[in-house]
Amino acid sequence: MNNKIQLGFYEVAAFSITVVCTKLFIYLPNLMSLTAGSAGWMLPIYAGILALIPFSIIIALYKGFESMDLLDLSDYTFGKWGKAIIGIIFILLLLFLLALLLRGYISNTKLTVMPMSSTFFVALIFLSSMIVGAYFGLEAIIYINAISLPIIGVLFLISIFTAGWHIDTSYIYPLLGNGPGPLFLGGMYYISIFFELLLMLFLIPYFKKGLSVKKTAYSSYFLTVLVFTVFIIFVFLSIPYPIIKGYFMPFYQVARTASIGFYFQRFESVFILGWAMLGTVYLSLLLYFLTHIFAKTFELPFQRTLALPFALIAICLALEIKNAEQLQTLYGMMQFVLWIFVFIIPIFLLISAKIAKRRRENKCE
Amino acid sequence: MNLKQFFLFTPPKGVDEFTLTNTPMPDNTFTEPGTVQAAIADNLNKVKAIYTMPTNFPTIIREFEIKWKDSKVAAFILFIDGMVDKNIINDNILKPLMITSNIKDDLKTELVDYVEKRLITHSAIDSVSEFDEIIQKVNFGNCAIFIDGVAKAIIADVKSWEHRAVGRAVTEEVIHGPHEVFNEVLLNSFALVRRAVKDPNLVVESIILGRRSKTNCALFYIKDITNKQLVDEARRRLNGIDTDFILSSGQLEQFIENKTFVPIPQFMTTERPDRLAISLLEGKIAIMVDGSPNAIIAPVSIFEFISSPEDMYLRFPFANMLRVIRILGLVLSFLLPGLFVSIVNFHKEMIPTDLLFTIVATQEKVPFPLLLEVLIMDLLFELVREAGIRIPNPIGAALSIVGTLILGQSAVSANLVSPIVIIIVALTAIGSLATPNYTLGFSFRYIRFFYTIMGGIAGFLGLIAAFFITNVIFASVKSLGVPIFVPFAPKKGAGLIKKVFASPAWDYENRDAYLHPMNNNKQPKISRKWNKDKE
Repeated sequence: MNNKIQLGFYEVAAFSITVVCTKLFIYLPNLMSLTAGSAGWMLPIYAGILALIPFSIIIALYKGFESMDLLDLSDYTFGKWGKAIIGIIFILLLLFLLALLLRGYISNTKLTVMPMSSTFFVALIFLSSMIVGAYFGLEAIIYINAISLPIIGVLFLISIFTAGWHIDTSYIYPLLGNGPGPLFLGGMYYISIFFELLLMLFLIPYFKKGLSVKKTAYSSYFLTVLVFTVFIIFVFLSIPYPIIKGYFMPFYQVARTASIGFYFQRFESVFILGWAMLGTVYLSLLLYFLTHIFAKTFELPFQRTLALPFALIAICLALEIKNAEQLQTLYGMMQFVLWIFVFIIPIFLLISAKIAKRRRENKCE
Repeated sequence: MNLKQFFLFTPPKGVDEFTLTNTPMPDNTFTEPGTVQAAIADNLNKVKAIYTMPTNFPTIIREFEIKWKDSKVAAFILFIDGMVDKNIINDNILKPLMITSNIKDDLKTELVDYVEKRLITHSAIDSVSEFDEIIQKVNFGNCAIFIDGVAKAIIADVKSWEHRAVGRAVTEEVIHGPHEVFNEVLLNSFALVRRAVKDPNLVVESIILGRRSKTNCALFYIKDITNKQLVDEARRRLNGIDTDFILSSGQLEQFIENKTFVPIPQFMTTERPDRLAISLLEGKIAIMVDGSPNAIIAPVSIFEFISSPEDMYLRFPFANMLRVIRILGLVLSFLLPGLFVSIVNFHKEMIPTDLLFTIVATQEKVPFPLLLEVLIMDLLFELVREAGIRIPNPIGAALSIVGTLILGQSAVSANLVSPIVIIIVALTAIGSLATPNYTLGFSFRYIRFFYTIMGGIAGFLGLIAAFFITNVIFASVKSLGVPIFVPFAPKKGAGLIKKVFASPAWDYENRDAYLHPMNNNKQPKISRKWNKDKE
């Protein structure tokens, strides 16, 4: 009866799990293994604890601005030019991320299930879903995510249980992997894995009436860290870390070892179902936010129609990446810079907004 | 006759020369209705003009005289033959007016009061002065009596026409539970609902739809349960329809739904009074159209389409077992061909080796690619089904046998399709027949082709893309303001389990939260008080 989308705790939690954990099934275990060796499984816990500090600051500073997203905040604080600068930064960032993840999905699909198909054809399949998703909007994607996430979870859990006989605790030794230096210093950059939580800040104006922003944000955050940690521990226990380092999806390799009896001997295709679904939802969300931020920054009356041009730009950028090695390097670079955008810019914006608010209040008095 | 005509036939000129052109009708065909005049001749002429008399044969005007204060007053009665009970007109209207008016009586009152209160012996009468309303009522089976010197007409409700009796269910057949269904007469349908819900708070609003058809529509709701916003929105949509005619609930559905091009029903249609009654008691609204044996229920969740009316009458373990089977059928009906094609084309490793050998061996002789083979068989099945519905029943059964057995067997023998494809298509068909809702069945039948094509060209990735695209489109659909995937997305109240699976009758304590009912409680936490008393 109300036309405005209203998000409850379940939808927000499902959203944050999807946007953060999708990378887990593409490249993160590889990077973590490269950084910390056999101790790579500790990185999400370590990064989760580290990220909690800026995350808490953001949530605390957000009080009083619940009806605004980051663009509204920059407009409120710095005016139209400020909004344009912040908007352009996020547009470029999301475009880069979308292109990178799209390339990751295309490459992995070609490697696993469609080796005979052309790259462009595989890209077209992803592209069609992304465009339709972004066209129909946030509400539809979030609802689909809320419905499909439990199904995906069940599929992944089946993969875990059926591949459980491969688990070997000796794989995580030596416990500190490449040493405390790479683990604790190199691991600091992994707070970037929570970059997508930034998108949650764009959802806050859509929270259901009476839903506590603080409670919802923290619960979603802890749930996300928990899911992330469980899966990463599982992968590090199932495959020796030198294998995880390779360019091939570690979870797919685990799924290949799944066994559910003599009759059904292979299970990896079922894993692909969940994996592709997760990727489709994630890519659609990125494309949606890209068009949303663009339309809002430049105050365009249309947003839906931007889905096609942005998807085409993203695919062009994605296909510029030539090989898996280049892709891996870009993933690594991304980890080094993303934390600035996810934590520093919002904190800076929120502090500035607080100051601006106080000034305005003083002026009124 | 000339020589040419003696040998050759010459068709007469002008026989085949008619061409439809845009020629306007003469201006005098439309008569402005206006109000009833005191002079009867004016009224008579107006009625004749409105009804294009005497060309328009079923409209009857009977002129007569009423004796009033020792003088004769001219009058006439207007009705449409075939829509009225002539016995009532003769015995309760004409006879008293023409014969009983002779009796000596207190004649101090006005003529019209005397006619209404002393002469006409019929229960439902009314006085109307606007011709618009008079015509509307006469067209709906009433008769109008015009009396000289009286500037209004007396309307008597004498409706009576031939109609289908209350019959058995066609699309919502059950074994347990009532078998009666609505028929085309709105008043009969209303009576069936009223018999089930004797609550005085049940409101039935009448709304006239269609500029020309003037179709009677009824908006049902229970005023102390249903959310006011919901009723207002339904009323707003109904009153906002501007068209010449509405003749059925299916047509009305298209006028009030949000997204016309989305292949999913946005309202539940039912032919069963018990289902309608339960929906009203849940806090929903219902709309019925005169002349249509189906009611529209809104808002609905997609998960409600899985339930059958029979679930209410079965013990809950059996109802749940049936629902699981139905869900399986539903999934088979749209996913099986796509799944089969994608596994065989892209994910062969999933198939057990022995079975893979069998499939490959049967496929070897067939000259078509698997995707094409499945699509052709699916299309053929739809063709047989459509033909079976359109032709008379005895031939329909024969056609089904010819279609399924002979055609299928011959196709396999001719190596045009493989036997396993026949099995897949047959299973899909059985699955679609198990779908409890006719309109949802339609949706899934057509979505299936999309899934098959996507599965055939891109394997599981294609299936996921198809799943995502169709469901994103569905998720954007709202049924009278309520998202179609409620209560799971957005999550509201009891959630999916309680919506998909049946609970015991005593466990339905609250109404669905997504309806925001004014009265949330259906029954107390302990509704089986006898159980508590024993303790």
